[in-house]
Amino acid sequence: MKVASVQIDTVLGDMEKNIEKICEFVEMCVEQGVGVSVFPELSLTGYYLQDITPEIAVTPDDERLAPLKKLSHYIGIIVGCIEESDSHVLYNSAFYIEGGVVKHIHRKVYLPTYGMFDEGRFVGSGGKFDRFVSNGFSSTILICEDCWHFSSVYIPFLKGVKLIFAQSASPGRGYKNSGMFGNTRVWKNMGEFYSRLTGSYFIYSNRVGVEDGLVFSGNSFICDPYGNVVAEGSVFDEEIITVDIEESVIRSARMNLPLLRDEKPYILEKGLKKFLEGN
Amino acid sequence: MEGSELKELLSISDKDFVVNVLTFFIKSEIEKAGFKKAVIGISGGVDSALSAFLCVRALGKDNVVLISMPYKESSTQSVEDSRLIGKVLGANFFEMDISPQIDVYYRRYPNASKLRKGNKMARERMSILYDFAYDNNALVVGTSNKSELLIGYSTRWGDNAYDINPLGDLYKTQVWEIAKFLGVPEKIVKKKPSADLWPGQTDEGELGFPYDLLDRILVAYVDLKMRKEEILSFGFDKSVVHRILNMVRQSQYKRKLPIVCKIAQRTVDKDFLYLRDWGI
Repeated sequence: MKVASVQIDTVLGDMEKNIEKICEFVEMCVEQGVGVSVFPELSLTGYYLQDITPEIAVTPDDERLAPLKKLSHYIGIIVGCIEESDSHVLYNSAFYIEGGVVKHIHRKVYLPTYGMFDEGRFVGSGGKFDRFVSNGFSSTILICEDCWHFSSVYIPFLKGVKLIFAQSASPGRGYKNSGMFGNTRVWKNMGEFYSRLTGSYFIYSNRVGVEDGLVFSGNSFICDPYGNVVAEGSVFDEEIITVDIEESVIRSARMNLPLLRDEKPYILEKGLKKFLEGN
Repeated sequence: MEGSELKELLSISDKDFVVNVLTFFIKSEIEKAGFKKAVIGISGGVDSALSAFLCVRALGKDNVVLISMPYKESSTQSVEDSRLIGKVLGANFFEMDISPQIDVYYRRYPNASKLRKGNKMARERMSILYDFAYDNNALVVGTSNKSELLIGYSTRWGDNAYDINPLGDLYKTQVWEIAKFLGVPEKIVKKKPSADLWPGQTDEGELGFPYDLLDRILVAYVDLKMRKEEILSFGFDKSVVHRILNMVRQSQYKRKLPIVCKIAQRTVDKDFLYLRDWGI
């Protein structure tokens, strides 16, 4: 099965235009025989939404998602959006669309609200990291800041997920690296680390373009279960990067480095229990 | 951490990459807004030269309008260096002496101080830049670096008024670094910085400290979020550190738009939060 990480620019607050563009890229993915495609965080809306947030929120049955649902009969699609719950709480969410329906939703758990980020002011946080099945593969989705917390990958890892999809809209910063922003170096470190330690593919989609002087750092990439970056996008351009997912490589990585087999979650359970009780 | 490490912190590892980011920023922001041209005021100094170099790289020389706007007391060196930038880049270059309008105005106020007149000149130049921007269907690209933005070393609504600014997150010492890398003529990179508000003025003479020192103190305070005592532990002169941190605080008004008195539920400068790139 072929996966694609798609990095695109988006128009801030214009969902129709963004959906139109995403559909074009999804069609290109279909032509390339891709089984699952992942787009960046908040790819339906643009990132720095602030007061646009409540104006652009959708529910999984929103009619504007119809073109994506139509295409999802041929390919799995992960997009980012502002989701409004039944009780009218807003979330920074990822929708996995397959077979004409939103099949899985991940609500971003860790909302950066410091420095240039202000997400916690505008949306509520999700409360779990789930496993779901994308085109037959056990998968999970992390959204940007989720990746920076240990608690995000652990449960999906224990459940044996094979594909970790990571979305971001990461503004570039730091001028101490060669050919990339400082934050890109950190993303690669995380991708290499997570893929190696979980024996999973890490499929990272970051956006490109500029919003009010924030230059998103692109450089989407895919790591194989051995922790190698096997495909990589450029810094500034919209593009599709693909990798063939090989069950045999996942197996090989997990045979050579049987970390899942040897993991001892009860140690964490005991320690956490004590910690939460204040000891 | 030692004082020399602050200097190292300012050093840009991959200048080519930073130049690519800056040119991408210029092109994206201008084109997204529906324009393709830039207007830049050229002073003969390194900041405006670097802005001009970046704009030509981003938009092509035919889409860049450079305007030199000397006053009769501006140094001939500044005028010549501005012409040099125009020549090296091959962009559209205009020279406009602003003495007539300034002198007509100050005939009414013959005792005006040189600072007052300097501020008026900066605003006159801004007014011309926006007039040219309208005429050329262009945006005004700024030339303020991070050092001067942070200490407020600029004229409000004068040289600190523009549509986009590629240099605003580069300290002065970094502007020198990038300008040299990009091939800005050496004599412009190496000459003493001056706002040229009056004959013989230099920034460092007027400020009382060199940019090299200023940038190290600012990077510690702004980028590393160090407290004053920690900054002093590097061995900087206490009065200089005190003065610089005061300048940062006292010039905050220059970095903000006018404040509005809140009366209703939502107020445009407080809780009506949308980026400028909304919908583009």
